[in-house]
Amino acid sequence: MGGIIELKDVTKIYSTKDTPEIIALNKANLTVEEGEFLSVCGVSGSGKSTLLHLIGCLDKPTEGTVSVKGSVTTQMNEKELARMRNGTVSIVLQDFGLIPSRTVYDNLVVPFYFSSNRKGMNDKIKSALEFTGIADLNQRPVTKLSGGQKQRVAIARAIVNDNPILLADEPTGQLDTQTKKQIMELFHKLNEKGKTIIMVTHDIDMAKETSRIVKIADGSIMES
Amino acid sequence: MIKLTLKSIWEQKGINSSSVVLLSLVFSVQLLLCAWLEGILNIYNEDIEKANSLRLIFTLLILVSVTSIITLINYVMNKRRNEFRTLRLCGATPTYILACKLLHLLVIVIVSLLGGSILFLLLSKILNQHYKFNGLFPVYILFVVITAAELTVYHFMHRKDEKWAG
Repeated sequence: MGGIIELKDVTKIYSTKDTPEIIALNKANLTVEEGEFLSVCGVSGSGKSTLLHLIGCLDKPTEGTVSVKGSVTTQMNEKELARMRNGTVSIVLQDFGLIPSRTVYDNLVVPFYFSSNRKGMNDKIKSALEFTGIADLNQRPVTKLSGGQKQRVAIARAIVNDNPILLADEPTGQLDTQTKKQIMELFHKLNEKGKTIIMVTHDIDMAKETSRIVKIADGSIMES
Repeated sequence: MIKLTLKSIWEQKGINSSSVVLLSLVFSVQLLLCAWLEGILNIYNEDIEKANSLRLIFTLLILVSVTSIITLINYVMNKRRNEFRTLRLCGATPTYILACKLLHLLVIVIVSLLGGSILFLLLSKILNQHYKFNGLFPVYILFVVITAAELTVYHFMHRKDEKWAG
């Protein structure tokens, strides 16, 4: 296996007792090199988010293998997958995935509760906040932030542990055009710093800004 | 980590105020209902047929209120859905999240039970009624056990619907 992320013949089927089987991914293959900025495009229900959840160690495939930074996640137990989410892969969501009742600082502390390395925590938080341009909002409750500011907090939380891989699920979906540009600038800066970024989007203009576009249709991956 | 969870539970405004007050009210009404029915059952103790039909009504009422409490608790838990998902994204294991949920439930139920009992005592004083607790409490404990069991079943039944939210 070569790339930092490698999917080999990955199939994901969702099934419940009451509903028929849904094939979200069908024998999908994908290799992502270290330092790449990749966008995944496709219509609703095409399997984009499933792909991100598998790479993000939030789910396991029904068949096939997923390898992240040299480790085959398919064979990992829940504890090992949690460790990967904490120290290797970070995820930024469209709805930000923040704890609404807490301050910006509190939200950035959360990854450290699950990390064995809490050394220099405050410095790391400070530097993540400065990088995302929200250092002055440190003690502000998340409920009092704008959409763009919330997404910056989500990105700051994603980089606070210095994870090499950043996954973003429609990160600009709820933002206006100006804020979209600012968030994309942040992603470019992170990519320049060596982060591998995979961004799921249905916004073609955003996708064109990345170094490679991958299209998904009916659970199958097609290179663009 | 438990400290974080406990702290966050107490800091959640939505849970400490409206939800717990609402649950307390339901629990106190429940206690009053139990006490009232217990009183009636004692009166009709010698008329077996009447006592049996009353027991049936009593069981049905308990089932209805159990369902209402499950709905309420489910509503309270859903309010914290985002927080559980965030913990998972940041590296929490499913076991940790389950422990958080149980702890959260426990706090809600204990606080509501306490609140409900105090309200019941106050209400019964206002209504100038005196109830025997000997017969009431086993029934009430049974009610709490049924609620807990149904909640567990409810949780696992709906678990499959949640894709990954924890």
